[in-house]
Amino acid sequence: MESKNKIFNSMLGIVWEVSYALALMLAAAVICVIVLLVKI
Amino acid sequence: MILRPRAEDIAVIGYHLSRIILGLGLTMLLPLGCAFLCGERGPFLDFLITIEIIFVSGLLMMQVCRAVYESGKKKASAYEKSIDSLDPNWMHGMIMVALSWLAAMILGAIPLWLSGHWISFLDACFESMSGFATTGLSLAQDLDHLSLTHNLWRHFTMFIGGQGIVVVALSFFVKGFSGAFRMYVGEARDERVLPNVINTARFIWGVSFTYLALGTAALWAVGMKNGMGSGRALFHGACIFMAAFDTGGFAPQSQNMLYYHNYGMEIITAVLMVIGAINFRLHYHLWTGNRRELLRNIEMRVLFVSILATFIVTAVGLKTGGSSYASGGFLVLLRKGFYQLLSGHTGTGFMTVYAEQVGKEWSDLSLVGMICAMALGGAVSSTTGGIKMLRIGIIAEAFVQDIKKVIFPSRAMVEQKFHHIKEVFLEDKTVRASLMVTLAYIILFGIGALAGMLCGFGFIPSLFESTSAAANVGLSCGITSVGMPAALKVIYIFQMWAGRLEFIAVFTLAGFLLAAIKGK
Repeated sequence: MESKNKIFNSMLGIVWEVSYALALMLAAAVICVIVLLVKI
Repeated sequence: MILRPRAEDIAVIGYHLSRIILGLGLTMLLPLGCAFLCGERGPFLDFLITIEIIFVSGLLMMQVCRAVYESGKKKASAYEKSIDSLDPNWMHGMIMVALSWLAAMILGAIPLWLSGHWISFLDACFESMSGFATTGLSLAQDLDHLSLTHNLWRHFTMFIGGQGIVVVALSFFVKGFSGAFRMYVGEARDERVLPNVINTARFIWGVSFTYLALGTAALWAVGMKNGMGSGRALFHGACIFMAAFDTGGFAPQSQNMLYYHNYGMEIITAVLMVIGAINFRLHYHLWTGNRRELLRNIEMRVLFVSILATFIVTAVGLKTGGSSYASGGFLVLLRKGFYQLLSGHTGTGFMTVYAEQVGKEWSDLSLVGMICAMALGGAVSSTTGGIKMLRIGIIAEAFVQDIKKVIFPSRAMVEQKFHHIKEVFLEDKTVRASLMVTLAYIILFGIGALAGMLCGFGFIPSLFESTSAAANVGLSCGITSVGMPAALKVIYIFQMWAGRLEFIAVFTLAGFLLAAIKGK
């Protein structure tokens, strides 16, 4: 049971880490759109 | 008065260094096995010769050091314990680490040099240090026709160096001793994940192997979907994973990531690069249920803001500089601009553009954005290089504290806190330590930039390449090539080494050598 919990927690940890990276890419995509739209 | 080191000190350092060298020799069994399985006779011999050299020199060194130590013990009884049971002190540990990395560079370069794909032994040493320090700058000739075995070794050096040569030795080859923590710190890992340093080293490997399995499988699937054979896709997947997670930047083909020109590969490697830039201590907390730490941790917050801020500068620079990436639309700017920026900030060095394009097409503003990103780096106790997010966060908090002291009434007590695993009060000594390392990095970037300018390159490209080497990134704007002056190659090797070890071990070695020459 304890090892199952360990594996489950590790998997959730991985999901959070991947989500952080994807959130970063999403924010960068928004910046791309803004930079391209704004006249500089 | 400076005291000259005793022969016993040198013997203790040499003895433990020989153990690490022997451990390094054992890691070469992997490429040796690969050569045997792939039927690559020449590479098999290259690695067999190298392993023999390592074992003969390592065992010889061990015996000589033991004999010197024992004779010194009889004469002066400086140390009472036997050399096996003696715990190295801080000085021993730091010097061992500094020398281990130099030894790894030289020994790791032997099979590369024997392959004939590196013009000189210096070039092979450059490649080897670039691999171990997870930089990614390459001087390989005709990389596209390099044997699988040598290519695997190039990427495997990143996997070893990313986790740390001493961490490898502590985890698999060397029985634990209490001096281990001193060596662990010397490798720029000032944070223990678990109370025991051996368990910390094993946890680091646990995370690395888990991601190795997941990352390689994902890259393998994408490779096969794009028409690669299963064996080739697996090889490329494993190599690319090692270079991405360990924020290295080597790739099996000379065009680097541009060779694949594939969304899937770029997204997976981008995710792996970010994960590689996360502190192993944070990995531990996230993997044991403390998931709020991801949002609260100062490093993760600063990393998020820093990547986006430097990307704004780079994107604006690309647009105002009339780059084709900006005029090509949203996706092109994201794939060419942001990918390079992320690769630079996490210290990876993967490129989806040619190095010459960066040097010739990118405007100065966009290059300045990239230089800042490369200099800042990822989290401490991760596989990245550069100044690191924790230090930037601490310096920023110190600024806030000082501003508050000016604004608030003089009687008010101003106490600044930051969250890094737990709430930490900002102390002057913490700020001082962060500023010292930051200053040392800036000086190191400057030395390389000056050397580049003395060799005839412009200021911005020289600073770009120097920062890339010292922060262990691996992006290039075209300076790094076989034809560059040998002195510049040596300076970049020094930068990669000092930048990876974060100075303390290097300064200790310099002090030790000075004491050996001038001491009484």
